[in-house]
Amino acid sequence: MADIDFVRKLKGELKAWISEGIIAPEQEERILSRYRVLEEAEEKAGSSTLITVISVMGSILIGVGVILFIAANWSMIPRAGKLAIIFLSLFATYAAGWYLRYEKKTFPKVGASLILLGTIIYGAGIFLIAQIYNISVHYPNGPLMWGLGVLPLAYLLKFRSILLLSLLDLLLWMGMETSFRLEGHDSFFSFVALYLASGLMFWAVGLTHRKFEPVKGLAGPYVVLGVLSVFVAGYAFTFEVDRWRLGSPGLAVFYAVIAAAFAVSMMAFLLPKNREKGWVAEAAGLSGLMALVCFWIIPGLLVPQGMPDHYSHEESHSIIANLVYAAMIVGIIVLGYIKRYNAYINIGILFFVLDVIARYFDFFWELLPRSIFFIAGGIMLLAGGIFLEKKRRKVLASFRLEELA
Amino acid sequence: MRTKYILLVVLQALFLVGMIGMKQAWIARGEKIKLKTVPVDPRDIFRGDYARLNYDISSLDLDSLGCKETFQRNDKVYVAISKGDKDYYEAVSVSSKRPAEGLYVAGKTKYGQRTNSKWEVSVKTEDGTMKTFHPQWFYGMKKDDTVVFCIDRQGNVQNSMKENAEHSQKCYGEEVVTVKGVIEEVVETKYQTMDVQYGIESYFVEEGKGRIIESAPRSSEVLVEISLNKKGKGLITGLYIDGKRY
Repeated sequence: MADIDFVRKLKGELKAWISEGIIAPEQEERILSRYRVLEEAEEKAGSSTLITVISVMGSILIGVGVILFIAANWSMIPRAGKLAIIFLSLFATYAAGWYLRYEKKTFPKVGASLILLGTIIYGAGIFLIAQIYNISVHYPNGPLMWGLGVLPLAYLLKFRSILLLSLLDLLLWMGMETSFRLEGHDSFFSFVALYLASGLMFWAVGLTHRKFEPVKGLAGPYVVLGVLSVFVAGYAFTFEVDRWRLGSPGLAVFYAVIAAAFAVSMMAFLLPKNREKGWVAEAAGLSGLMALVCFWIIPGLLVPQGMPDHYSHEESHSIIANLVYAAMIVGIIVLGYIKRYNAYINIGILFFVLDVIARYFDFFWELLPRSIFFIAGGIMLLAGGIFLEKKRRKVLASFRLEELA
Repeated sequence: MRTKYILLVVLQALFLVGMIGMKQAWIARGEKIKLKTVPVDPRDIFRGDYARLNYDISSLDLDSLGCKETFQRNDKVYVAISKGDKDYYEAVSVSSKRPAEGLYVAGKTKYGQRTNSKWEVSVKTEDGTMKTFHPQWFYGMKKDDTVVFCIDRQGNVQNSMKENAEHSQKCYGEEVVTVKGVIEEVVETKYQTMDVQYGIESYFVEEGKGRIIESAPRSSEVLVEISLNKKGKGLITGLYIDGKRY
């Protein structure tokens, strides 16, 4: 099916074809006239991306509305009535979504949003039932059952939106569940290390998805969430690393599952079929980081009694963390360049800027008078922004040129 | 694909039905008991969507329960309870092993055990009689200081303040009695205490009804009705304030 993105790309291609003498200018006109209707529709009625965004927002608003309606009319609606609302709206949205997208095919985008709404109502159902029976508000099983319950739908329909919802639920569950097992100030480092490990696992699972045609389209949410977790956690470690508090015996089950999922994904990723450019570098980088996380986690895991009572700030491990983080930034930008992933480059640059800001604060806060500190910092960031933006444009433009060449 | 889609949607619905069924079976089969509780911040708690409940059995005095075990945080514990002549159940023993008989509630320790203090303060009141009080905390005052105690309806010390020359201390609140006197003796006893969570610490308040409960005086007796299953896990089924069910 031709969409407006295709027409836009086609226009660019046609220019190149004319300049290379493959087609004559009047042929360009004839080719483009086939798609004129599409372009006019786009101009008059708004873009298809806009439709998707609007209908997804609509779904989320309705989902929130259903939850609020039932919550606010708590005593007016009998228990059976509340449950009836949940079940009826669950079936109605799923049925309408299916009808519009797959049966009638008249409004496929709105249909997809309705199915997404169905998965939100399912989650609302879990929490409302928990509320009716006074199950604790800190209810980690809720997000777990929500995430696992909608995951099969994401795979059946190949919906990235539902997959993203499911993975976010699972990450949320992990945070809630571990905060039950960890308490006090000790927990921070174990928490960050766990998210770093699970980020690496998601990343690896995403890469493996890309190798297999049927699930290739679902790689995105895994990779993006994975990369973001890894970089946010890595960023936190550039401030301080307490080697004795990175691992916690209470999280042993999580470590085992994450390590197993990572190992299986890595093995599948290394299979000879459908290898992407830069696969060696990416596999080596991910495995190296995972090895470092294991090296950090194990002391706290094996000798919980051996840990010092106070924070043991070991300079050497902070230096390692900072060096590794710098290598991660360079690595992901280079990988983005090799694999032609704009997302990698953008994420790399974002965290590079954050790192510069953090280190600037670390080093100069004490040394410079406040006013000069802020003015100099501002100028540095503005200049850096211009430089990076130029660089980024150049890199992205070179992708397009290479594609044309 | 259509069949699979319908199957997945039906599975989701069945899962929700299963959740409801399990809880209903629990309520039907469980043992109904009452536990004494205080909302954590009694003045404010019912305004929100739920109340955070702090039961009498939420913090256990290990010494008076005769417990010799040591507990780390997040340990599983079983608290045996009995009713006696009261309307509600109280803790009689605590152990890391499941009791062979009798009713018990299963919970998890919050921080492990800690050392706490209990005070016994003897004062000579203004009319010359001797009285003994058990405040929950008592710092910064010694023998011969003049102290003001605020006593609630159940005889518990809500607040203790040091009287000073500039202005006299006063207690606030309904049904709160002010007792003033000179301290004769302060006895501090250290004991082992432990906080336990049972998974019944939240009570969702129906909007509108919350207003009535909110205006209940601070000294009210709040009881929570629990349906207790064989594993010692509870599910809240009702809330009583001064004997009235909400």
